[in-house]
Amino acid sequence: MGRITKVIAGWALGLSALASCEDKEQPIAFPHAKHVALKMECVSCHTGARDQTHAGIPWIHSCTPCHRLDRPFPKTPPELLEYINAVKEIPWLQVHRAPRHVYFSHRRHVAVAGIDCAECHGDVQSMDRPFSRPMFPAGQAGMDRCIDCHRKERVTTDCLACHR
Amino acid sequence: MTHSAVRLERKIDRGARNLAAVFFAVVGLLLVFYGYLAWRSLHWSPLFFIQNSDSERSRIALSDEPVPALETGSVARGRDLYLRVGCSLCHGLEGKGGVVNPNYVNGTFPALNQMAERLFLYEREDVDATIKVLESGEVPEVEEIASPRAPAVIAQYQSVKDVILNGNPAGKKDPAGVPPIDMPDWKERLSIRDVNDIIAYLLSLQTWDESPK
Ligand code: HEC
Ligand code: HEC
Ligand code: HEC
Ligand code: HEC
Ligand code: HEC
Ligand code: HEC
Repeated sequence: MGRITKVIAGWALGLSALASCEDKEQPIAFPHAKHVALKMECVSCHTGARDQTHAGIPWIHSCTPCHRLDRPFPKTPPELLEYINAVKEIPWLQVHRAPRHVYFSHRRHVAVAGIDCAECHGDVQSMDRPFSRPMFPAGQAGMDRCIDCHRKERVTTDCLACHR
Repeated sequence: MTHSAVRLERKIDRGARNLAAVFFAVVGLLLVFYGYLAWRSLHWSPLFFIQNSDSERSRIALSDEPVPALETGSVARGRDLYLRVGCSLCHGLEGKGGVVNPNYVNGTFPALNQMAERLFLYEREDVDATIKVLESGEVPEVEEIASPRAPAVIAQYQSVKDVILNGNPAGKKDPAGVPPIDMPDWKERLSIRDVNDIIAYLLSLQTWDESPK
């Protein structure tokens, strides 16, 4: 009995580990580079990044003011036009996701501690393809990265501060 | 030949079994730890630990609830609308402008943080009084504005409100170039109250030279 549960759990863990390594295909080839080059700020699209736990992935109304049906510029790929036409949310896939047992708040790091997005998310402004895999160097959110910085900044490294 | 094949199979078999045992032991340990974390998160408040941690910074703010806005009312609602409706996509955070509009006469989308001057309101008291009037959620009347320039203030308010509700085409710099991005119309997504709240917020962004007494 116990062995069977373990086998099943082992498979589940193994599969989820595999799944998290797999590249994800976003519904639209969104280029961060072309938008950040206009000097648009990250928070204008990721509106929760300063004052909420989750940064949030933009809704369709973050695209419609500029990408319009009746306009040749800015260029709008047909798959995006379809969503805009139907005023339907784009089914973006979230790629950065801390495990359920970890608590991470953007507000605490961006607004309270004043840490730049690039410190954790890297060189987003030069990405001309959408995210297909997490950009954290360690692969996932990466406990070592959190702890390294917390040591350096003399913030708590108590297990229960993050695992709650 | 058959003899050696059978032997080889047995060897692989034993190796695999040992490997599996190690693997499941590790998985089992991890599972137990996950379970422990889950159990503890349900039954034991971690605050006790955090309060006793050695870091000065950790003590400053224990809870991560969204901070309640200091002001309620028009300005706070306007700030929220400005960000979430999407004005900041083009006009920048806090209305500070600077976002490039390709082939637009002025190069960048206009900044909106000089709205008080735009409405001929040069004193902080006048701005605060006007924000109060905008709270009503209706188009203000000339008599409600306590300023000698009240009619001009109202006229400017009307023109700003009309640009927001009806949009405005952006002028081309190079006639042969791409059409620049226009100011969209918002009449389907914003009510008069919403527009008032946003204008109140924009008025509050005015910076004042004199130091407060
Ligand atoms: C401030 C206006 C603005 C907003 C808002 C905006 N874009 Fe863009 N977008 C542009 C400009 C300008 C370009 C560059 C067009 C070019 O170089 O031809 C562009 C380019 C693109 C392209 C590449 C088009 C191509 O073929 O080169 C895609 C895809 C795109 N945007 C998707 C989006 C999505 C999705 C959103 C909403 C999350 C969005 N944009 C929001 C202005 C905007
Ligand atoms: C201290 C490191 C850190 C900083 C600084 C940071 N992030 Fe994140 N970000 C993370 C982590 C960790 C996750 C995964 C969080 C989760 O799953 O809850 C994440 C997730 C995200 C996501 C996707 C999931 C979500 O929360 O909606 C977006 C979008 C994002 N970040 C944008 C930003 C932007 C924009 C900034 C700058 C304003 C920023 N981040 C600053 C660490 C950081
Ligand atoms: C025009 C709006 C726009 C701007 C400006 C923008 N982003 Fe994004 N961002 C998006 C969209 C749309 C996605 C989802 C597509 C993708 O994953 O590439 C996204 C995805 C992300 C993700 C991955 C979220 C996930 O799935 O985990 C991160 C991290 C991120 N952005 C960070 C940034 C940072 C940092 C900046 C500023 C340098 C920035 N973004 C500016 C629209 C924007
Ligand atoms: C680049 C540095 C940096 C990184 C990386 C970082 N943090 Fe932090 N974190 C901070 C700072 C600085 C604070 C203190 C903020 C303050 O002053 O309140 C903090 C605070 C926290 C807090 C609140 C602590 C408390 O005392 O209640 C939690 C929880 C937290 N971080 C979790 C994480 C997690 C989870 C990760 C990894 C996904 C992470 N952090 C990565 C710098 C960082
Ligand atoms: C600063 C935040 C932070 C602190 C402090 C912290 N962790 Fe973590 N921990 C994380 C994050 C983030 C992950 C998820 C890493 C990932 O998925 O890549 C994690 C994952 C784990 C895992 C699962 C490992 C895995 O591979 O999935 C264990 C076990 C763990 N932590 C134990 C601990 C213990 C024990 C402590 C105290 C000594 C501790 N953590 C302190 C942030 C933290
Ligand atoms: C797609 C980009 C875009 C978005 C989003 C946008 N605007 Fe505009 N806005 C413009 C452009 C371009 C102009 C300049 C038009 C012109 O040249 O007359 C403008 C002009 C204005 C003006 C007149 C400024 C002046 O000095 O004459 C106001 C007020 C204004 N916008 C308010 C808003 C508000 C409020 C929102 C959010 C509800 C908003 N805008 C969203 C592009 C935008």
